[in-house]
Amino acid sequence: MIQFNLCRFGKLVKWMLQGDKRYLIKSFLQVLVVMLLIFIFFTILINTTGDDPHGYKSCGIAAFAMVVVNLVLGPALMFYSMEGKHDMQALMLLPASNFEKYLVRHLNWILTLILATLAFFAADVLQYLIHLVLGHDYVRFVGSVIVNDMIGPIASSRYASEAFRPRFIASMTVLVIWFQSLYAIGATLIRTRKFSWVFTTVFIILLGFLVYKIQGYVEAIQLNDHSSAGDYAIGFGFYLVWAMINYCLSYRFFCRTQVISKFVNF
Amino acid sequence: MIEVNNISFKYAGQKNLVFDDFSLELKQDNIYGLLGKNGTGKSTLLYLIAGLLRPKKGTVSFDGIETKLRKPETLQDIFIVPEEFDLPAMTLDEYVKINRPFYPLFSTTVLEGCLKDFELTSDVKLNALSMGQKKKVFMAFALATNTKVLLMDEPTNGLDIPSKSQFRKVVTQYMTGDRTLIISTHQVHDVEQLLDHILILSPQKLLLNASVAEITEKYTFEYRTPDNMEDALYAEPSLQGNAVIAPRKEGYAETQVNLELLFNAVNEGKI
Repeated sequence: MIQFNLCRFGKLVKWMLQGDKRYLIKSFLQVLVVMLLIFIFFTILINTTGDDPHGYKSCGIAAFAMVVVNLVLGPALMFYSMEGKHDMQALMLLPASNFEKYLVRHLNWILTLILATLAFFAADVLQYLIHLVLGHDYVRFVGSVIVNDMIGPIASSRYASEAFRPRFIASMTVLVIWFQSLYAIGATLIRTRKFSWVFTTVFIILLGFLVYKIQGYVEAIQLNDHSSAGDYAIGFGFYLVWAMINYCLSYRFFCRTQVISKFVNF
Repeated sequence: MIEVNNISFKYAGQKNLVFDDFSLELKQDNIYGLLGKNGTGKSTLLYLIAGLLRPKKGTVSFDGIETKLRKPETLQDIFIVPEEFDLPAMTLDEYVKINRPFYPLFSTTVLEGCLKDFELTSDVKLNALSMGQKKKVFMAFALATNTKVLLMDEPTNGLDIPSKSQFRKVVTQYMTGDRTLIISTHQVHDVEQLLDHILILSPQKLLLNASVAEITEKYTFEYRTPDNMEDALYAEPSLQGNAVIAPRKEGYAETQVNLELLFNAVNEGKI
């Protein structure tokens, strides 16, 4: 039976924040430095041509890709801040329920993602200031480039269709949830915390081939704009139910975690 | 209180079972000494009791609840001090602040008393401590949680000579009420005065499960000359003469248990 107590969960959140304080600050600073270096690299150090004369579009693509990767891979990093068996031991022995502990580890990666987003904005402001100091007249915010030059054209093309837009957004959301659920399984099943995302990615690629093969025969798992409303609804439900099953499995693996070194957590 | 019922356990990739159909019952208000040769499963048993390992078969339960479920009600009554552990990079004050809310019976008085006995202060940085100091800090915290069950794996390893007597002092002083302490150790001389009950493990089974009172009532532990060995059950030569275990004769005073001698006698099958 799943146990959840809000007061105890609050204590657990405090415990996690205090314990992972250094990791969270380090993550923020790492993203800040990497983003800033990418922005400076594309906008100052190299000369881009064509439709991206000042390199801002390249910055936007790089930043957008990092956000998407972080968003999809997020759950794979739920135990990333834990150094080894002793940290896991401390978590396992804490008088809180398995469900509360599982949720708090999800909260950890969500927090890391929020901090990464804040680091992106901070890096964006810093690059803006650097350009102002250097007297460059082409200075822009990367965030505005992403919104105006990347998302804008997509919104004004085929996806602008009133009928399709909700379907597109819902499809992307359910796909992200589905990917995240697979990475959540990887994080709780594979014991090498630092590299669980690598093994899960390999598995997802193999799974991708399988789904691609099946897709030709099973129309119901299509989430594209050619499928009928009925097929789309079935496809949507299929991925959502699959994701829920994955999350349940991931939680079950977490509940069965032992403090012995094995490759997988059975 | 703690019931280990017919458990089987083996580590992945290993052929031999650590426990096979193993059972044990531990009662409250006792200090148990868990002894055994290397690889007999002492630490494994502690981890199984704490719920950090799961038996392949059988059950380990505390007050009727299986410990492998790791329910908060169970975990707030069980604390383990492993042989090796890491403490986070923070001060002891911060550590106590974030951990004590999980233990409803936590006692600051006990913590302060233990720290005083261990000659430590609460503003120490945990990651700057030596292994021995870390152990003392963690044991002080463990005692202060006031959990019903306290498990200690090799608690005196890494402690210097004064710290070993400080350890005995704090355990005697603060293991009060209905608490149970299970100490797994090879350093028998460090803990022999503390123990109420002796458990000696051999691979997969329990060789001895007896209270100190039962042992001292049955046996006598003494040093004898070679011409006085007729009723000796087990003897070892020593500088003071032969260290001997013999049946205690009626009317004779009880002697203090020589744990090392008892351990060797049990392992040799003499008792």
